[in-house]
Amino acid sequence: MPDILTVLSNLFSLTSVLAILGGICGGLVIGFLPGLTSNMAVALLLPITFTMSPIPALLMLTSVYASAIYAGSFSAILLHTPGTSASAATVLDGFPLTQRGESNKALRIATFSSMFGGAFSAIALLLLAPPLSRISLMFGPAEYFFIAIFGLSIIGSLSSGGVVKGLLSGILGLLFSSVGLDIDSGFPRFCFGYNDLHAGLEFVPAVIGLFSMAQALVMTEEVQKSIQRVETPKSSEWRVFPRLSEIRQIKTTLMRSSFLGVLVGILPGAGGDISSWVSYNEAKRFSKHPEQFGHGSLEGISASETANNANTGGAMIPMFTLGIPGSPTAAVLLGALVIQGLVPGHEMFDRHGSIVYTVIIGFFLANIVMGFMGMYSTRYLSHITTLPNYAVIPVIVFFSVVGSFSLGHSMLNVMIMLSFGFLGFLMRKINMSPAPMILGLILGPFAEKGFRQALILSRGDLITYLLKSPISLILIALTILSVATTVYLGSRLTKSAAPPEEYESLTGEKH
Amino acid sequence: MSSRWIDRGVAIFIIGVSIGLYVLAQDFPLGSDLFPKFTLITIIGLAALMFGQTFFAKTRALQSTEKEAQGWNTRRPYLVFGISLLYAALMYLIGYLAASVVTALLLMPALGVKKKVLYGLVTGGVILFIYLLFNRFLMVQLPIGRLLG
Repeated sequence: MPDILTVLSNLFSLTSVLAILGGICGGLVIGFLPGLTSNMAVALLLPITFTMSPIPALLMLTSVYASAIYAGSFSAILLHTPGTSASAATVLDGFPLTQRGESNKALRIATFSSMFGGAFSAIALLLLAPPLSRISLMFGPAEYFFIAIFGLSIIGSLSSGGVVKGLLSGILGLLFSSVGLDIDSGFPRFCFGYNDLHAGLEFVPAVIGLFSMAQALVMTEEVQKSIQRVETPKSSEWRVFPRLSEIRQIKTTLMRSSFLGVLVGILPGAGGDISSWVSYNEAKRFSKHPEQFGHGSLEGISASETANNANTGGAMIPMFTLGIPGSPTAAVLLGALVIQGLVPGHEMFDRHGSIVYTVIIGFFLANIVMGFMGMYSTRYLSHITTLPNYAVIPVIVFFSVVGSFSLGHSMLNVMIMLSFGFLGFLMRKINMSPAPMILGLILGPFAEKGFRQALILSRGDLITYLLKSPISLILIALTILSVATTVYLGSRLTKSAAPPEEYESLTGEKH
Repeated sequence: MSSRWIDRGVAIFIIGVSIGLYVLAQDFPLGSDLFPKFTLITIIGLAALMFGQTFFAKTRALQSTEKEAQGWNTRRPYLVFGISLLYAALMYLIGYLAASVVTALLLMPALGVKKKVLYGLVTGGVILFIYLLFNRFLMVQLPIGRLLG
């Protein structure tokens, strides 16, 4: 571990502090707007980080991630519309409090819970990631190939639209990653005579297209849609911190939901929405007042909000240690790591320790700061929701086009972004999730490298080589198990984790 | 058209394109063809499964948002996509600022803007914000345009 003073001086430099504050502001605004997700927030701000050094770049993106998930609770509580799908469960108890004129109470509980869950997950990340990263030392080419397949299988299985479509999306991502000059022979693959494609399909424009441009196109179908103005309490009645009695009411929920959030976050592909519903169900099951759930229960709000923010740090544990993101947003963050020249695993902790530890401690700090910024700005941020879709769509289009262009001053990147944007829009139409495709694009080169190296090392007997390692066998078994379990238990799990019609009505997507 | 028929069409399309790409991959040198072939075979298998599923899965009823999106609204995404393509071309030709203003004006009727002042303020503010952010703060030179530069 690097010197703590180095980490702190990195963290409290002007650029780092500005990156955290800027990231939190961006995340709060985007997370507040219903329909704009944390994936999109990170994807849209990704180009801004190109010119930055790794520390402020990663601090900004992780701050965006945490605050976008947190800000989703604002519109869930004030407007009965979750800003992100991770806050869908918050609606059930948050909005009834708003109807009773107690929106401030709901918001401060959501804020305190989000801060607690996020900070807890940052500590879990700090304590668990370094020892877990040592596992990566045991990995050879075969293991890297299988872990990429495992990551794809699990994110594909858990994505909306079903296992087959999820896996198909992931493998299509792998195929897209093979466009360009072959790493060994230098042969141009699937370039169709276009020399510009020799460098391959850039990951960032593809992410912006799949998450942001596609969302703008979807929003054009309801251009007049906007949210009504929200009446928030006067500043004299506004309370930032929860009362001690309120904290006592939710203290057990805070701890339980933090553990659950981190645990679900570690599972590749399981995002904040799953941890939030699981935690909400568990809180209701263990509560002394289950009858209050759905009618403004503080435990209900706390369970959902603690877990979805605890999920963020949890999702970064496998991302930092093995290169397998725990959530779709972590998949975009993984791309950011790669762009900054950081390869997940033990070597990253060993050689770039000061960067990694600064980012983790900065993530902890961001979770605290976002709560204060959130509570002080909510009343003003609520005005944003009066914007109709037709005013938001050009903003997304301009940011997407300019952001893609800014990567290497290339119009090709703009074309890649627009193509993936249209593809993402069509995928949404057939209920196919774009998140596995992003992961496929990122993991493709690693998977192929592992596959090719394994082929050389196997000296013609690939199957025996791939199967001789116990880690490979475990990964194969986990891959088969994850797909088989999802297929077998899919409908039953959906029913137990959340009522599907409730979920769909709140998030607008099939669970 | 029901979601079942759309899924069938998509599956057949993916299988067709994958077979075409597999034929292309036959010409790749030894070694560099393995990974694309592996992914293409997997894609064909999964697309066939997707096709097969349509005979067993229940047809998904149209969701309320899809019902609302009938008529002109269904064509609007394609129009906005076309304008976005034009924006990219215009940015190359006349530069970021002029292209953004033209695009904002083109998007106005396409999106059926009602509050024109609000729309003007938001888009104008964002165009200026992006310009300042990239050109001045991040030092990323945005296109000034082939025709004007």
